[in-house]
Amino acid sequence: MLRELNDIDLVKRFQSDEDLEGLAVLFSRYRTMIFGVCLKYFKDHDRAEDATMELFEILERRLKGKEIDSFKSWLYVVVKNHCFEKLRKSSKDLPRNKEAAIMYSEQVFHPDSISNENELQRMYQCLEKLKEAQKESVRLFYLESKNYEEIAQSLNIEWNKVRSNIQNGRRNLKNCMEENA
Amino acid sequence: MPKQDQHSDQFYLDLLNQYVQGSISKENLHLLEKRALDDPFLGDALEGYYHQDKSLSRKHLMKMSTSENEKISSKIVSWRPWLAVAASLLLLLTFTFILKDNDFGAKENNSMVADTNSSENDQTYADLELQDEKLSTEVVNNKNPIEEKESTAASPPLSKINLEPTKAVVKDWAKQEEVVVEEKNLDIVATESEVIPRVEKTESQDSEDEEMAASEPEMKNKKVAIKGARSQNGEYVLDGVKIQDSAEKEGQVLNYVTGKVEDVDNLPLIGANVVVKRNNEVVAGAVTDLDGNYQISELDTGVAELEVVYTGYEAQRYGNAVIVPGVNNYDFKLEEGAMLDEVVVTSLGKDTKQSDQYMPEMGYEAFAEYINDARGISQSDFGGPAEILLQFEIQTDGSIEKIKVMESNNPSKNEEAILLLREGGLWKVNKPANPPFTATYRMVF
Repeated sequence: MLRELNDIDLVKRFQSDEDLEGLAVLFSRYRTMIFGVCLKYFKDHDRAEDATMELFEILERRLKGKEIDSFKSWLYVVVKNHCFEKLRKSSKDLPRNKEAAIMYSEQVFHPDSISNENELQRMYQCLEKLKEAQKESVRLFYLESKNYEEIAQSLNIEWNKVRSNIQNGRRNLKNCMEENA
Repeated sequence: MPKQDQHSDQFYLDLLNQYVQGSISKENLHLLEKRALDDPFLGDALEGYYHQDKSLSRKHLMKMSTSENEKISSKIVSWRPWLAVAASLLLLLTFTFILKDNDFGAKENNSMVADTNSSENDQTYADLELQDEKLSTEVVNNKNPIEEKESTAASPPLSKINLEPTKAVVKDWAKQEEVVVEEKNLDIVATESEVIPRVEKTESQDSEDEEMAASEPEMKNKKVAIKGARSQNGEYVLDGVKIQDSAEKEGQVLNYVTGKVEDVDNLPLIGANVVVKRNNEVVAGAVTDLDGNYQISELDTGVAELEVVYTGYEAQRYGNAVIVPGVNNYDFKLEEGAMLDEVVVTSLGKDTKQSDQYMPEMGYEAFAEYINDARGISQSDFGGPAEILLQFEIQTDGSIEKIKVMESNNPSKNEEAILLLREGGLWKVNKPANPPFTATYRMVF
């Protein structure tokens, strides 16, 4: 029954009567995500697990009296900060914020959802103007429904690179399409 | 073949689980990867799993879900009433030991031995006593370090303490047949000091964009370039770790904006989004590093708007930041929480904060319902619903004017928000004030 409540309701439940069960449901809902992010940063299962378990306690503490409208994005920040802080304490090799080069705030744009003939034409024209790696990544992903891994293999690039290629590629694609509208 | 992104977060969480289980279909993997393009949380998680042995990941997830979940539910069922008892028992015991030590400390060796024996007995007794509610020991032990500072939670003692309950779980709920739990304990205790994680650098996105710009000059102001962190230390760097500036060696950075984002207590805010806007359009952005520093390079000179957004804090901006050739420094100090006297109404119709000075004529609840009914359909953007803080003036006749967007996590929805507010009827001011009355309203939809 608790599982049917949405994030915010669970948060409110926990906040109003310290309902740990509700928090546990909320946490388990996102556990796979949290653990995955921790894995990304620690590259080690045991450390990632430690961090994940600690995050439960952190949520328990930080959620109290906190006004939250989007639990998921708040959680993401908390998870990342916790990982960073652990890394900062234990390692000289700190992450750089290179990933910031991906901008998420822009409007969602998926080239494969274009149905208008005109736009489609414009999209193909603009696609040609993209840098090769971006163009191929966007094309294979959206037009040929290839997965990251397949794209990484066929373009002989790193898996991580595929996502940023697609992301930056479609952003440039969108800009180009708007400018030529 | 075109598929609109119309699924819920839960749908993608399920897909992620399937991915880790190795049971995801090719088509669903594509859906998941597509979502990851718009959802950095999911993207990071996917990246985390991709580079790891998934069967090991599964084991850990299973272990966590049994131990953590059982722990929690046992906490709820049996633990709470025991907390007070166990805590006071522990305190009492500790206290007794101290007293005993003090009493006998000056006495003969013989009596010392006797005393030690007796405390050992007590200790054993206490252990047995607490076996069932081992968790309460955890709380007693942890309360302070956690309260002091979040970072303390990352220290080794916690991981050890955390494991105690896991053992207890195995004993007390042995029916759970999780042998994995027991054997795993050892690993975890040892991890803290030996593993030096290397964190991935997503290289060359900037250079990618630079090349792009070179071939496509008309796109150049759309580009985003992040050059790592300043080498300067934030006061928060306790261990003296410095991050070298990678931009310098490239020697091609002309104008850049740099600065620090902190909260009011001068603590750096990590991962805050700093964006540069021109004509209301985001032209560049960066995320603050571990010391709260950011750097945005390759900007055109002139006036721009600088804005920082961070979950749980007030957004802040420099409306007319002047960017001169070279280094431009803009620091931010963010205040936590919502603005004073501001109204938060979510589409669930629950008001988390209402002004008692002014309100929509239809009432806040009805207004929220109206927003909920009237809003557009798309809600697929990352970060959940759009959250837009509007400021406006209430006139003598209750009409509203001069609607301004103060904050927005989704600029594409700004217009809709303004429209919804404008069409939402009259407002009234409760306390007499000189009109026009300036009001704010946070619209979440």
